[in-house]
Amino acid sequence: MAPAPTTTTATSSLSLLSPAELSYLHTSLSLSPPIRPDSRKPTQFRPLTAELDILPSTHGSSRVIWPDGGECIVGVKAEVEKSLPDATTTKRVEVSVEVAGARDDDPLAVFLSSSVNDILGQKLAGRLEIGERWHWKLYIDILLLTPPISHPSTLLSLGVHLALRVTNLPRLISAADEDPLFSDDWDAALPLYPAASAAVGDVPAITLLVAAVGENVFFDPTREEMAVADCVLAVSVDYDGRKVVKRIVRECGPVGREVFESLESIVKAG
Amino acid sequence: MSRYEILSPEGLRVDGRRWNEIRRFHAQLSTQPAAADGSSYVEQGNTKVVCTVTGPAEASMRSKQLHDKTSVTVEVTFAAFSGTERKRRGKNDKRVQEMRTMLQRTFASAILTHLHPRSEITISLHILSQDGGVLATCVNAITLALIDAGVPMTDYVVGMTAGITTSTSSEDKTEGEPLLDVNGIEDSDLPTLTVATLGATENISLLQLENKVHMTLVESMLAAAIDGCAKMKEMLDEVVRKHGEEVARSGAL
Repeated sequence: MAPAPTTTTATSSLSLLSPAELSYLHTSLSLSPPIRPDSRKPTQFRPLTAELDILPSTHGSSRVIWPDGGECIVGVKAEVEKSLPDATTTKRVEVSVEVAGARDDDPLAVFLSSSVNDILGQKLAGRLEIGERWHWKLYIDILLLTPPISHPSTLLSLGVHLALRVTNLPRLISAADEDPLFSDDWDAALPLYPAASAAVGDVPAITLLVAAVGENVFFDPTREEMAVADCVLAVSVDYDGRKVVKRIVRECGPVGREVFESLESIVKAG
Repeated sequence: MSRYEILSPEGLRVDGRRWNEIRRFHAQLSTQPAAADGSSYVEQGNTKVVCTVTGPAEASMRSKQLHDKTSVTVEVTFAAFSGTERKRRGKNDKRVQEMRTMLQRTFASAILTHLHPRSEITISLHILSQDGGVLATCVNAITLALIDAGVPMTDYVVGMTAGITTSTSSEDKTEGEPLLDVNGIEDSDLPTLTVATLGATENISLLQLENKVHMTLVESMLAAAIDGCAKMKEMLDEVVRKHGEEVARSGAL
């Protein structure tokens, strides 16, 4: 849980606000009750568009479009792999993020792919077993089509969550100790997250961006709100509201008690 | 040849089309207005391509600045999930380089480059799904994106593929039937020809032949593909006009 590498691309390159504007925003967000520039409630999200199953060559896919124009396409593909007897289950899921127009080793892309991998964690690996000697290897490929204006963590994690929810894996028709053989009938494929697991909340975790200003906490901050916030956190939560991972996206100003108070509000609100 | 019958005796292909029928075509203009000057999304059957165009703008590198013309830069990315097998392709993949150069040359001649010297037009393609005829779909996507960006061109540059199936009844390699708009199965089995023409004319601006084919068969493939380009041009034009009407109706003009 080390702090993330400075995501200067996302945050600092766009704070073209004058000191007067920054101060105005900060004051308006510190009020009680706070006033957000677009008059949303602190826990209100901006509307987004999502499409599912758009790619026929994948096991599951999704496309999420963010109101500021950011667009993210996620494709999930699976391959069968032999399980090594003493290997750990960590490499069952491989996540790759491609940011349009950026290099392959762009720090933002690396940070995003490792953060997505972290939040999916062991719970997903547990679903990929095929008997004792074989398992599925899942490749989650994320294409960020438009360069992120605000930090893309939330966009990505929602896209991955949706793509995994609609992922289907071919149905096994061989016996447990034979080499795996699958049904050719795609209609017989089983979902990776069957309906039953949604009912008990066993679904992939998502990442939410949370900004704290004074004693107020805001979800889905715009880039102006992130520019004036005292602290912005990318918090990954699973269905029960338990925090899986926290990464500090941008931090300035006094950390101390204010952060802990903000976190308490997050736990109560989230 | 393969397990499937590329062309059945009744004249039907694997997906039920006849030899001169093109796949389902769907295109949208201005899909990413916030991120680029022009953008488009084209689907030909299951081949899906997203294209964005930025420019004319200041050249990103001094070396790219031409004193009397606009320089055109093309970037192509194949998404890892686009093919049947998951495969990450780096920027130095040979096929990717080949596509980039071909598209760059084609559009550098179609765009009126003398109008914006010392500037650069950047074209980015993302291939989301490959199912045959990828290069042709890219050509069409770029054309639409350039139109959306308002880049002046001499005419639509329209792409189409044609394959040739040598009938299995005779061993004669000089007899064959052309198939228009090949899908993924046909693309991997048959020799294919990708042609890009300027509008509905017969002026060819891009030509690529995959696999070996007897010389006498090339003419029929070429004729079929050029005909297909003319059909495709009508469809592209319809998409552009419809988009224009919507923009006018929404009061932007």
